[in-house]
Amino acid sequence: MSNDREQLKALLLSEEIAQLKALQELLQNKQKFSEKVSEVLDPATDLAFKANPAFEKKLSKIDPQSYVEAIKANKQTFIDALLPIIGPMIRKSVTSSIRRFVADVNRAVEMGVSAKALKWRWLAFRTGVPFTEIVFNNTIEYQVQQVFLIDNHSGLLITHVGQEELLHQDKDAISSMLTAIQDFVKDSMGSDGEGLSAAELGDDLLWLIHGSKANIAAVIKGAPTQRLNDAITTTLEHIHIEFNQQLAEPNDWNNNVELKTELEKLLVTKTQSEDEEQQQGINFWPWLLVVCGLLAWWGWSAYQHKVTLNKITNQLNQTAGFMLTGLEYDGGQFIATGLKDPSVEFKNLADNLTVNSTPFLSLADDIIVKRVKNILNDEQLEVTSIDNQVTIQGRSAKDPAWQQKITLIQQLPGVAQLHDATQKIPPKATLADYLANNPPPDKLVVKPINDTLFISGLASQENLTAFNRSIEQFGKVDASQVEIINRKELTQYINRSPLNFSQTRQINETGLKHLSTILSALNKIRRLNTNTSIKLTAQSDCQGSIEQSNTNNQARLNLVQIYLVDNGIPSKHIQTAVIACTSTTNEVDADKIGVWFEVLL
Amino acid sequence: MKSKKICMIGRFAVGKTSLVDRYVKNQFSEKYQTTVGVSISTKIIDVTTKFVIWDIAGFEQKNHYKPYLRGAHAIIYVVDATEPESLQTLDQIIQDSPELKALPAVCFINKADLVDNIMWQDQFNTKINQLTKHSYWTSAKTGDNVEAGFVALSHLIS
Repeated sequence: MSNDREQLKALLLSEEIAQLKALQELLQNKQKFSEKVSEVLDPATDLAFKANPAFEKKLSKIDPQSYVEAIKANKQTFIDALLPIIGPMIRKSVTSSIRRFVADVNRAVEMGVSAKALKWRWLAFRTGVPFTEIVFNNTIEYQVQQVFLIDNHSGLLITHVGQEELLHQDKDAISSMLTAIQDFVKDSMGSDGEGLSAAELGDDLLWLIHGSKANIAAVIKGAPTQRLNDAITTTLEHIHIEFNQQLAEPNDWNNNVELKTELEKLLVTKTQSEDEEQQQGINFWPWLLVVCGLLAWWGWSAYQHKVTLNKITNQLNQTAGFMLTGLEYDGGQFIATGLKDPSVEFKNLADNLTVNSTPFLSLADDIIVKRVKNILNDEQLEVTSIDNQVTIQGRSAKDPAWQQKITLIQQLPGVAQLHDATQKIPPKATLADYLANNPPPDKLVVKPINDTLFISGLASQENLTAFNRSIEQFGKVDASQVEIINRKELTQYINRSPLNFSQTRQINETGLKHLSTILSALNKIRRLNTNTSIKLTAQSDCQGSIEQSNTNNQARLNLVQIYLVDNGIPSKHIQTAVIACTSTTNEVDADKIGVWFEVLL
Repeated sequence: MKSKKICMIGRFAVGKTSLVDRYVKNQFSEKYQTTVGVSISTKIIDVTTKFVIWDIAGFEQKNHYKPYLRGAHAIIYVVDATEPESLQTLDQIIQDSPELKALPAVCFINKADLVDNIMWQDQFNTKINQLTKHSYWTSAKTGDNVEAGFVALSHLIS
């Protein structure tokens, strides 16, 4: 029975059973089922969203915690993903900050030279307040937007000034809440003082100034200074003095006009000078000063440049043999171009001048004169050139080379005509010729070596001096080897030194010694002149007989003459004489007895 | 217009903030959010009077709330009809700050809508009478007697 039923089932439902098995297999095989579902997932979600909008919301619901977990797990991935967004934001913020900074710097620079800055500097000098503080007070930007006068006992608002439309809460609630916060802070922190005094509300600032009966709460936008705080404190003190009764009586709190007026004084707005400038127009003064300064500098520089240019131009134009064709200024350097004769030498050129020249032959008179002088090579000759007419003046030896020079000069370019106006100098005598005609005196010998004349030998001082002068024209004289013999002194010595002796047969020792000295002096004189003679004169005191005296005189004369001859004096250079006695004397006078000498030059 | 400082006094979770919200904003939320410190609201009563209502928290801490009570013009005591123990908090406050007795006051016996949970007894009324002669069964949820209670207080002040 059972088999029959199975067979019947197989016959009737075999196809459906196979399909069910296939479906079952599909459901059990995750891979195949996923593939199948993925084919219809997209159109299915579209249909679901269309049919049920709430379904879309559910799918798009964001779980913040999932973000937190994801960021924790993949920090770097989120950083990489956010970088393209955050980067430009940061750059934008930095750019904005830099712009503000640049604007502040510009403003500060403008302030440095503006009339207002000068005024502030004067104010700082006059009041003793630092300049920076004055600038800060005048440029800082803030606005007191709200002022609350609050009863510090109940926290209720006494009066309020400011724009109520800017408040997000009821002003009474605000004043109460401010008091509550103060109490809370004081209670929490255990402070015995005045409690909360300031709070920041985003870009706004809240100041709480405490009084004995009332507090002032001020809402300020921007960056206020301590002076504002001082001003508020002063106002609060003033209110406590002037409105003491009103503060104590709650019925007088609201709509107290005088109190409001007092508080309204605190509603100040401090703007930067930029705002004033925008109202008054742009302040051109700093720029005008800068422009004037630049113009003055430019004018001065241009003037200096022109002066230098003219100086260089004049200098180059006045340089003979240089033809200036161009002058440029480049990179702080003057560059002159032109034609330059090779003989030109620039002197005292400016440091910042460079000369680029092309060689050429100049026909300028100065250059012609230079060329002529180079050929003549004689500093004593004067050369002039006027319109190519060359004139040579001075004294010249006009030796054979002279004519060659003249011929060469005539061939020079630019020399149209040559006038030789020189006078001939007689040729100089030579040393040999001179000495031939003027032999050296005494025993002097001249020997020229190079440019020096060496003199040697014997000479008297006067002769040597005269000779030196006469030969100086031939060169430098060196007389260091000359032996000077003073003939005059020697002659005077001999002539004034008679040999007094009375012996007639021989000369005593003292007499011989004296005679030797006379002989030595005479020989010196004779070295200068061998023809020098000596005269011997004998005389006596004529004591005794005249005959004997004369005999004795002759005897003494002979003794001296023999001595001189024996010692080399030729007899022909000895003259003798006897002064004969004509009368006799009775007194013996030894000084009158002897032989006297006289040099005969 | 004169501002009057009204202080709400009562144990935590008795419904002080809900009562204020109902009165000022005509709103009620089932969600309980505890007040930290104090919450302040204002309500113009008439052309001459404005209530500045201080919804004070932290009565469980001795003297913590005292600074907030300074300068109060009137007091609203709040107790929970379903938790008579909240009366003990009021007793404690009065002991700590007896000067409050001199101020005009009303008492809100709140959560009157929770009829099945009310555990009020007559003896509690005696205690409340020692604080004020003006008590109201209120429901911040339904708004019952809330407005009336505040109006009564305004009359007491004026």
